Amino acid sequence: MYTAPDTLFGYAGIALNQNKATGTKSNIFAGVVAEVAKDEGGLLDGVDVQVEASNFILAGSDTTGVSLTFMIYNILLNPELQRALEEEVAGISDSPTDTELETLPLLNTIMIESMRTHGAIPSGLPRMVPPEGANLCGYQLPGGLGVTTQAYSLHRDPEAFPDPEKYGLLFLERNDY
Amino acid sequence: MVLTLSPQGIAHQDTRKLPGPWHTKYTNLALKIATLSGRRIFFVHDLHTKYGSIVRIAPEEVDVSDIPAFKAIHRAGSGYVKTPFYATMPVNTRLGIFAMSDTKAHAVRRRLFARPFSKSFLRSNWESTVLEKVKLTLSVIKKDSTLGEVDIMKWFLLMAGDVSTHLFFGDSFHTLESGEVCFLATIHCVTAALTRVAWCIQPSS
Repeated sequence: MYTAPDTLFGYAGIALNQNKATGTKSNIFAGVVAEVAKDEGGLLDGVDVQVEASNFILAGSDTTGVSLTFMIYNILLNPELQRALEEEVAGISDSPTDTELETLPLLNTIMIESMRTHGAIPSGLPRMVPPEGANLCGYQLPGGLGVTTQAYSLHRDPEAFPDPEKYGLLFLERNDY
Repeated sequence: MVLTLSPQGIAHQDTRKLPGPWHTKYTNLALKIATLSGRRIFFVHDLHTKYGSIVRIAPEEVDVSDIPAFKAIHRAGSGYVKTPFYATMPVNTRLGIFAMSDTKAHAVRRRLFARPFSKSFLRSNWESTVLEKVKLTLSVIKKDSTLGEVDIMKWFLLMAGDVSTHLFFGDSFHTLESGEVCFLATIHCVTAALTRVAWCIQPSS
């Protein structure tokens, strides 16, 4: 298992070589690398591209796959919702664009609601209290204290979501999303 | 795994008056057990239910579930920098944009990526690539469905993996064509296992 990050990092070398080989639209970093080369340089070298490519793949693969799976799960639990969604997407073109999909209200609210109940990163992304300390929720916190805000709990805020465990048609009545 | 029995750098009296279970004043043991058993979010959430929007979860760590506080912490330039936790993430040969805690270096990197990651740039340059892979995914799911059950999680992971490897490496690993889960298993293994390990080896708490 412990070689896995190295394996991924090794694959990431491909990103770099692709850039060197074609220098055009080969991957998402191509333009950045070209621009940095024109500049004084030093902002982003080959190792940086490898690191970033690996990180973005880690960030974008599991999260997307898991989120889509839970979205289908939530839809299948609710036949009424499934019918309404099928009706909504029946009208779209065979090769829908992002712009077109963005206008579908039910599809988009379902996506958001699924990310609320089954977000792919439910845990916290830790930060440190600034050196001078801070006051949060009425408590004085010392500098350097670890402070985490986990999405799992924020997404179940009882004030925002009176029945937080319910995969809600509640959200359809709101229009402030 | 770093088990702390008492606060290392922060004075005990600074955190002892915060809401939270008594043992979290002295040790992060309960948090570490919850983390290693994959129940960290439930452990923390239960504490919020009991103690309110701010809770001490370890001698040097609090969790906050409060929208104004969330904004104060995470807005750009808030002064709440990332902990060394991020530097223990899987790919740490050098710090990338996710792990950088130096706000200036992070801003430089963010500016470099602003254009290629903008909605308009992604749409005009990569939308057709994504659509092609989505269509391929739907066709393999349809094919499987005629044979019986479909493992949609597998196909969605392969789709997301093929899209992201194409965008970031310049070519995908064509796992949708091969049904090959090996490379994706690598990614899955890295994210699932090492993220959990990272929680345990982070220098603070």
